[in-house]
Amino acid sequence: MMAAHSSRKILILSLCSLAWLPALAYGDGGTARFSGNVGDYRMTIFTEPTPLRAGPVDVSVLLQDRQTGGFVTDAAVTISVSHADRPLNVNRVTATTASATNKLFQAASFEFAQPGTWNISVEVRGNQQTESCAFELNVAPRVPRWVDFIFWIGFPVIPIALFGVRESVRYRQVRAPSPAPAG
Amino acid sequence: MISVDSSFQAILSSWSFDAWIVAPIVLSTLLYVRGWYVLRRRGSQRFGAWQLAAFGCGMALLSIALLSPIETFSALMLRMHMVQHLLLMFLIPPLLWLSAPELPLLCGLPSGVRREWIAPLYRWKPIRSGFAFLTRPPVAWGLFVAATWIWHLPRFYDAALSSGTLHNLEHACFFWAAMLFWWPVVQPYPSRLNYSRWVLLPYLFLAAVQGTVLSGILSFANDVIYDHYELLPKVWGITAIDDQAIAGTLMWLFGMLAYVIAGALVGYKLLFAPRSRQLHFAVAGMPPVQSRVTTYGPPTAVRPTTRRLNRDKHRPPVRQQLPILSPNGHSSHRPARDVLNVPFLGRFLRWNKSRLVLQFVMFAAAALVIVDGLLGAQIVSLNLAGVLPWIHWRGFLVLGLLVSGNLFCMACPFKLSRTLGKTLFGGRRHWPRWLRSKWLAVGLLFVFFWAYEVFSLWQSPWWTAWIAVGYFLAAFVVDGFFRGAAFCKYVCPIGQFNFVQSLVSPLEVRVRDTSVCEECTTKECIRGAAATATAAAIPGCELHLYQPRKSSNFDCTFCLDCVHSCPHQNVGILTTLPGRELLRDPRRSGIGKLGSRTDVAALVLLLVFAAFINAAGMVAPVLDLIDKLQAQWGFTSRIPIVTAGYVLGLGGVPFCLLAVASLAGRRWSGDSESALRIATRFSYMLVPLGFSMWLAHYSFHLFTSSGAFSAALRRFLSEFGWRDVETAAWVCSCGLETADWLLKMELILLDAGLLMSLYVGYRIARDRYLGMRRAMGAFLPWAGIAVILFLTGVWLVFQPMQMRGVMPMGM
Repeated sequence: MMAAHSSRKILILSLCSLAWLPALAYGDGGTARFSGNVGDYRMTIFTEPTPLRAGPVDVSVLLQDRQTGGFVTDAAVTISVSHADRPLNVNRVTATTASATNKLFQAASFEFAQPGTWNISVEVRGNQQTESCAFELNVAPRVPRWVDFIFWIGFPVIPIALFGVRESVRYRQVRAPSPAPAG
Repeated sequence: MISVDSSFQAILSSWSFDAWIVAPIVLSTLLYVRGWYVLRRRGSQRFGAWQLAAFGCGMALLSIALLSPIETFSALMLRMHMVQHLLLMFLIPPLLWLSAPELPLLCGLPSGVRREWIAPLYRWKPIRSGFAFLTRPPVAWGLFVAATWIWHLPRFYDAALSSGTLHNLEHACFFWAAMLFWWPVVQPYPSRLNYSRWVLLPYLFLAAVQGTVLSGILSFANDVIYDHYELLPKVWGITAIDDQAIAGTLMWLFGMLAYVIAGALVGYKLLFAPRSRQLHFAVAGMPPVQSRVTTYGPPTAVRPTTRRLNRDKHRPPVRQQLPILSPNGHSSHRPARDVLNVPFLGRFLRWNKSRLVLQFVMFAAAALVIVDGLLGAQIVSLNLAGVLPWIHWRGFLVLGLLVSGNLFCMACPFKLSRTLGKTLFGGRRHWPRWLRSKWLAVGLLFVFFWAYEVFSLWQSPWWTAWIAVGYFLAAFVVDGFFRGAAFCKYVCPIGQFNFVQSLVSPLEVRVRDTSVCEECTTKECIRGAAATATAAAIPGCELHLYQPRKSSNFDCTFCLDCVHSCPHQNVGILTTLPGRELLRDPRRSGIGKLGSRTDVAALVLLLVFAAFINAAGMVAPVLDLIDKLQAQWGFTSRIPIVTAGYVLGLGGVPFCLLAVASLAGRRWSGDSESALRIATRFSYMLVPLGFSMWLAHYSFHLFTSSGAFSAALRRFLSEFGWRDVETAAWVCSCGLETADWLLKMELILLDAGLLMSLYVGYRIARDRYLGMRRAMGAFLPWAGIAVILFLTGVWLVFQPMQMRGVMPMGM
């Protein structure tokens, strides 16, 4: 009995603790926005989420040696973003592997405050030289914050529906005649 | 440049984490292991180490498929993505079915959940026949093949790679289609088939054929089929077209291997295995030796043959439940736990000076609030009177009510002034009969909430200090003149708040064994215990709650006098199901029937609606509206607007909603009772929702501004010259966006409040009215009010909020 109670406690505690675990929002690739040769590197740049909307955005960079195709993770990658309407207001962040789920990537997180065209510039500093590339992104308007929490807002619907089915089934089972005894 | 080794190291460390995947895996594993253990202890020989290992391997592979670098790199390499799909479709489902998960998972559930929730659904015919239909070989085969081909169409495959949701949907389709596909092949215990297992040979063969065709298309295509991979760089020098060919080859090899092994095993069993009862039954189309048809829930594909039907016409089939689902199975009733038996804590609470110690701690805190509020700098976020009561005390109060019970009343500092008043003046008068209700408290609470908003009490340390002083004086005067705990029972607004909210607390002071009370003649719990040579006299319950007939925490201050005075040690602090006392309406000692106490119902409704009005007073849209109305109507002060808002929010709106709900419910249920009586009974269902709003509101302040105590204490110590305290730079924490986790917590609290309120309302209606239609007629209008309040709460927590206190600069 004690073992059953203990396992029940473990079960409940595990469930409760898991409910609070956030899904880690690491840069994880997403949509490839740029792929090409830049100096000695083959550079591929991804953004997430898809479609791109105003709000938190991950930019991930995959660097490869142009000649061998081998992965490069020791170069310093700096990502700069600015809105096309305010080009002087530049947000520069150093990308790291720690921010990426895929440890071959180097990622950085940004807050794209408003929709429209954003200029992205990626600068790579290797052992000998610095290479950079730039491109533009079209960012759609932000979705209201409650949309991100729609599951938690609508969650009661699930237990209510289950409860409704359960009550309906029980009600019918109570009303139905019980089966004849065995034998 | 990094070496190949470090690349592999990077790849191997690329694990992802998703609570939505981890939670079900961990939960199912725990359930299975628990159920497996229970079945083993009951002596079942069917569940050995092999089943446990199969389930464990299945879950481990599921984790690897969805969380390991396989998942991380699936967007980069088609071959990796293919490996992931092959695991989900060919390896994990057979392993899970081989573990015969049905009984262990059912046994692993808490017995109450199993019997009350699972059993009715398990016996529900549409579920049973639905599952039987889905696991018929042609249907399962068709679904499996359809899932495989549809998701491999370029349009859908590319869409899944660009959207996390679609990607998860794709995995879910693959996994569940494969679970259905492998079910007839493995035929997990305790299911039975009534068709020939020879069917499974063409079943597997045809599946292998279609798999070969699809893998051939992937392997021999001249172009890259999926655009997503074409855009990506070469990984390890492998081009996208080669990557695709490798993926196709993997699909063919892996698939063929699975089909061939499964086919060989099925063929071997058909040809060489000893003819089991089941096989005999299946092959010959005859009933099994034990001729009665015994069905165990959904996973059965039994389709009675004509011969058996004819025979069974005279002998109805026994639709036996799985024993573990039987209502007469193991009882879920467990004795309530007693906090007084908890080591250290129980001993402390049983000590008759424990309450005094807690009161002195709270008295010290109150003294700090008064001193700093009256004499300290009037900077609300740096003054203890602006911080301690409005951020910390309120937050801990509601959290205490949530996790235990009415702890504040137990440690109430005003008890000291009550005792002083009794000592000085005797307290012999009876509380006036016309005031023996909660109406005075309702009025005081209304005035307090109104004053709080109109005079922004939380912004004034000076006023806060005077409120505390006034509280001490009121307790001193009331209990100095009147008998018992008149202040607590009829006056104290904080006490009323605690009494109402503690109706959903998990602890309750009550008797352990009612039979002991039946034989008790001295009734010390209500009369008190006389002084002895070794112990001082202990008063009986000052709130006139007679323990054997006490029910719920209402009017109970957790003073524990009954615990200390009972000579049989028959009173404890026992665990109870939160909200249980709202479901029933017995005659309660000191209170009577809640369903006939209009004053208590009014108190409940005031506190429920005040939870939302009070929170609304701190959100930007409401504050803007007040300013706008003030300017529009030309008022020099916001007092008239706020007063009108409070009268409307705590009077007019609740009255209208209640009137509509009770009149509609009365009409739809055909109830002949008065609308007031109906409203009184149903109003208690809103307690959980109101409490959840208080929790969301106060815990928001606590979690966003708890650091303010440190700042305020340093300022206090520094200002009063007690020691040279290092003062940090602090900034106001106003205007910050609510963190995601906090918002999620607030929503979960509101969800829980709504669900509990709806459940209570439903139970009240079902107990009150005969027949589902009448009960639903009475319940639905009240459910509507609960939903309106819930949506109001959701709207409030998403609004920019005024925050309290300060935080260190730079955070």
